[in-house]
Amino acid sequence: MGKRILKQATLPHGGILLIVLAPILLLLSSGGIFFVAHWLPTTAYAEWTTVVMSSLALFAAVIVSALLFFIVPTYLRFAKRGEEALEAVASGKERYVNALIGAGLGFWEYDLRSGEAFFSARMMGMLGYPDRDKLDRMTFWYDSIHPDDAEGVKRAMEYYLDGRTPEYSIEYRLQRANSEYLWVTDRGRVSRGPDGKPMKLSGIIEDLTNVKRVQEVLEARTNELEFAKNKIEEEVQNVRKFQKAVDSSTEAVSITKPDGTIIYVNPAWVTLNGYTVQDAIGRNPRILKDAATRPEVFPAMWEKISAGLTYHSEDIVNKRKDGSIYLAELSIYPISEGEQTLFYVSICQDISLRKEIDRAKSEFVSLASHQLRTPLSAIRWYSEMLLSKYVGVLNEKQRQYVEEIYAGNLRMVELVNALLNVSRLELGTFAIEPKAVNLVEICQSVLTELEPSIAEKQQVVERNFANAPSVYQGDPNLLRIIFQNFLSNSVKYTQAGGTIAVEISTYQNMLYVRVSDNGYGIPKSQHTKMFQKFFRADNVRQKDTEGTGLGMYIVKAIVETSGGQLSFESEENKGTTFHIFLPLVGMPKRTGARGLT
Amino acid sequence: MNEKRKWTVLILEDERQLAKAVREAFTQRGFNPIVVATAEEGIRELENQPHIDVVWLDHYLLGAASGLDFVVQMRGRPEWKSIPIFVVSNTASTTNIHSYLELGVSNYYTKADYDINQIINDIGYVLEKKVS
Repeated sequence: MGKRILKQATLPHGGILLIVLAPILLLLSSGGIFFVAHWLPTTAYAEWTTVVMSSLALFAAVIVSALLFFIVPTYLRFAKRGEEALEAVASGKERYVNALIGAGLGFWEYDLRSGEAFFSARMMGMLGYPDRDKLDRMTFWYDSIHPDDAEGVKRAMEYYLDGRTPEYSIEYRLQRANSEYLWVTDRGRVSRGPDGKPMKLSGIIEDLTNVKRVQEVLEARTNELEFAKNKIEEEVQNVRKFQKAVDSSTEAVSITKPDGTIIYVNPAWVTLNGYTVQDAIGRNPRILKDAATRPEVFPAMWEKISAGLTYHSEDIVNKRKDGSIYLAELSIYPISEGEQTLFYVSICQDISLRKEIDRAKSEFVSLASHQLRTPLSAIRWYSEMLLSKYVGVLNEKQRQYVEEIYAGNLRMVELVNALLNVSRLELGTFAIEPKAVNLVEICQSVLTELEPSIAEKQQVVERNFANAPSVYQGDPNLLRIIFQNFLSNSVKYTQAGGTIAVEISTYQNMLYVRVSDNGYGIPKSQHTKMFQKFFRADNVRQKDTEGTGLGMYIVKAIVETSGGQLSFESEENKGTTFHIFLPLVGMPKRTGARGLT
Repeated sequence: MNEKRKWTVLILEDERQLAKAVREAFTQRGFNPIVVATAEEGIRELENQPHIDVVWLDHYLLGAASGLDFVVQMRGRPEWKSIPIFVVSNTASTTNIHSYLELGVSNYYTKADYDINQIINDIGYVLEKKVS
């Protein structure tokens, strides 16, 4: 701008003449005046001295004035132009500076020869120094570069100056006044001398903190995304594993949405039900519903699963695609997240065969009971009649023999009853039918039955019924089996003259029955086997061959199924004490095909 | 002491061996036993015999009808309603025993668990009580 203005204004003509001539003229005229003043008075024209001096002065004055008159205005104009040019340059420069400041850019200039450097106020401010232009050595800048970046910056600059790279532009970290580092981008340009040698390098610096921050955030996000991606891939792998597991399950698995729509079925499901995956997806499991399923099953199912509970049933009759039916064992697991049910997982199995086997087992038990008991009844009744003298009196030996037959038969009946009870316990078909009973009465009646043996062995029975509840909600048959087993064991396994004690009372919220004796006891080493099926302690097996080894097993099953507990302490040749606890509120009702006998 | 009247007992028992034992035991104890093996025959005897005092009933019988069917039929006839029934069976299930007791039979016995004389004593006791 300044140059252009100056170009428009031509240098005034005669300017140099004026500057050179004016002093010469003035000098010559004053010299002439001086000469005239001294020389002329000595001549004949002395009286002209003043005139000549004045004329000379006037001549010089006229000449100089003329020069001034013509030249000065031109100079004034030129000076004005120059001023305008200077102003334009200044405002242009200011504009650049403002632009740099406005753009947040710092400006620098290095003199490559002297090593001096200029840093703009903005750049200094950027680095946390006072906001003023600074002249310093290049080392000020170079020492501020992060050690890890210094080598790179140096190389970039060298390459650029050598002309190996077309531009100098690099990002690096500069240390701020407070020792923190600032990410900047630095772009520069070289000015070369007439010899082509680089003289000055100048450039701008931009604070990249925000850019870097964004970059860092982006990088962090990218990492997070990468991590999430890996995680997802891992999950997908897991899901695949689970899917494989579910796919290869031999149980039919289906998954439904909360509204019942099927979203998944596994191959076993397809095999079991005859529907293809395409048939099943999007439909309702009702496609399997057969009219033979009892109607109350479904409301019960919904009540459970809508409450978020697992539903289990063996009462489902399902219909395949081809119309054939099967008995199903069905479990439904609601899968929830918080309050919300996401889906239901159903596992289904054809249990027709198992049910058939169960039924066969039950039938076998029933059949065995009939078939075994009938001949036993015959033996019992005929030997009884032989002994009853209606058909004549037997001789002593005959009577003894028939009595042995009768006794042997009784053992057989007991064994059959015990085996039947075990079968029912194991089949889970035994019933508990509580009603109001008098425990003391049941206990007394068992003791009455045992009286012949007790009398024979002259044993003492201590009865402690003072704290017995007057009424108890229990199954009289089962309670009788409990008393019968413990008391008959005590009588059987206590020496003649021994003592047997029975107590009925309450302990906290339990009914408490204690049966103790000072008899043979059970060897410590065999305590753990006490309630095993067919277990008989070594020491009593030597003394008594009778006994099935089933009594304690049955009693334990009854007590535990009734919500009670059983424990004992025993020492060989000291005696045994049994503690039986049953819920004081009574035995829970349990439906089943048969009671125990 | 009163002259004891001879009680007539209708015995429904399909097992020959047991039927014989029961008949003989009742005879020995001074009863008049009538033994049949099916519910159908039992009903016929009830209809023909003017005076049956008590029924001894097995659950499983020959023929299609069980002891339970027999009791149902008996309970359907007002003139037979007061005849006491003693179910003596080795096999009846809990549910069946319940049904019997609900239909008002006097008692239920598992054969193998009782001497005949125990059962006959119980029957005699019930009949005596009924008379007095």
